[in-house]
Amino acid sequence: MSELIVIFSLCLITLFGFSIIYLFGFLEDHNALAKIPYAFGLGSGLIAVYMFELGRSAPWHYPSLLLLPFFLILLTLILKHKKIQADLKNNIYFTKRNYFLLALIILQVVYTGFEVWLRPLYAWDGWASWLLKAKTFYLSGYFNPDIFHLIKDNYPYVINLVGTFIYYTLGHTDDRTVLLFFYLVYLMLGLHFFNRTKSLFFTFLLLSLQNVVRHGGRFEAGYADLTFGFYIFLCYSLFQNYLKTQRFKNLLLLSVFMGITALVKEEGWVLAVILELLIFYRTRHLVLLWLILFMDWRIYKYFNHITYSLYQNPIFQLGRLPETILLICKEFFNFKNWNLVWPAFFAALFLFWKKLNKDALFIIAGQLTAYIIVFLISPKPPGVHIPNVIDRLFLHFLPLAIYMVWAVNTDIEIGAATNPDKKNVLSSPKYL
Amino acid sequence: MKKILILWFVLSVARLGYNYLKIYTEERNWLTLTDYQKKVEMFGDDYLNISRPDFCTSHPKIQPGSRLYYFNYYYLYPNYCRV
Repeated sequence: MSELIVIFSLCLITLFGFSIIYLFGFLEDHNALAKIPYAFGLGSGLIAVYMFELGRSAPWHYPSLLLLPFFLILLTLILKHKKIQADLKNNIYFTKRNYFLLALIILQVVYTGFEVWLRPLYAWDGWASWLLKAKTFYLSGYFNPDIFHLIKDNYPYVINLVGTFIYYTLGHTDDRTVLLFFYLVYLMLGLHFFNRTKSLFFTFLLLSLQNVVRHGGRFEAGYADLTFGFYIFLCYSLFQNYLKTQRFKNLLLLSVFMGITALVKEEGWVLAVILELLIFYRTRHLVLLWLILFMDWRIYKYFNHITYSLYQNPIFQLGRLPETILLICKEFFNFKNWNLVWPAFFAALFLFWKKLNKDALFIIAGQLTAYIIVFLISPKPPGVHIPNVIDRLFLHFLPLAIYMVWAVNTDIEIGAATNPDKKNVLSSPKYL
Repeated sequence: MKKILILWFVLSVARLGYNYLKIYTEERNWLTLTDYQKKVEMFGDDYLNISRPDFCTSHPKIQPGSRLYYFNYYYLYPNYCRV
């Protein structure tokens, strides 16, 4: 029963995201299927922001907390039902040869689902930070800053508050069913990747990576890194979408997503800055809406004296650079975690340099550079710090890396879904 | 490039098969365990200790940053032991 209630709350979050997308007219060139991952990402982020704004000064009142999402969903159904009906009609069809790949994806997704259902929370950061705060906020009844001081932590709140929302819907804390959120992130990542590429082949390759499976449902569900990677991929997709359509609304949505990403993990602001640079470079526009969300959180932290950080007194140690690079490169050969992603990525890099998407490469290089700088100023020696975190940091840009590999191998026909008139959906304006 | 992708695919399918085999050989035993038993299986003594009613009086030394330190807050909040 608990599982059904959590699934209901995650559906509610997604519908809340849908309602915002439809009411504000975002992503009008996408069909309903393509909107689902964005709706989930937007709904999760906005429900967290909404709960943060309500709970920072007063206790939450659970049933009335749901009024706004329900009202917006109802309003959307009334005002936009024709548009929704039109969006739902555009379905994807599979040819016979796709069924094998589809069956593999279903088997993979079922396996990960079984794993997430089987065990309670095991991931260290889950009970040491993300879901610990979710639980304490739920038990406190408001956004209680004391927990930040107890565990000397300053991480942002999106994942915590989605967890708190799930606990409110459940009526109690449950460290097994709450992991369904991370499983849904895994599913949505797969769906969004498929929506972008129409390649069942590459979608299966992404979803079957052991590190992705672990973070999506096995022992490491509870870490925020796969969620962060999912948001980075959504931001990148929105950026590409804006370049293609030049619609201001899409830029606005991108900025909201940048703000949410900055509140999923501390490193999110680095992505926001990288994207801001890219947007300015490519379009000569600046969109700083994300700063409102980000600065609001910073101001809250400042006034509540949440100033804990591992890097409070940084000393830049350039001498660590060779060891840092060596340890990072070592992870590229960790086939147990990554299978052949990184050999394929570097093969794409060297063999198809001219065809490569340089924006995606810039994001990956920017994030990686930021992490190298962090390792150079870290109080922990690289030999201790890097092996502890590097497999998780790679998850941040993994979807982008596989997307780049796909982009230079679009001639692999296997996995390309087609619509009924046998026309490849990639050429359809409904899919970007 | 194509050869890398095909090898990657073959390894992924093999791994998926291996994972299903693991469910049958190793993980099916977990199906009959209770939530408490699963946590004892995963966390060992730390979980047994934190579950004891006299934990705060019997375990006054909790190293900051240790697993027990976070378990103290995660499982006992708001009645956690003062560290």
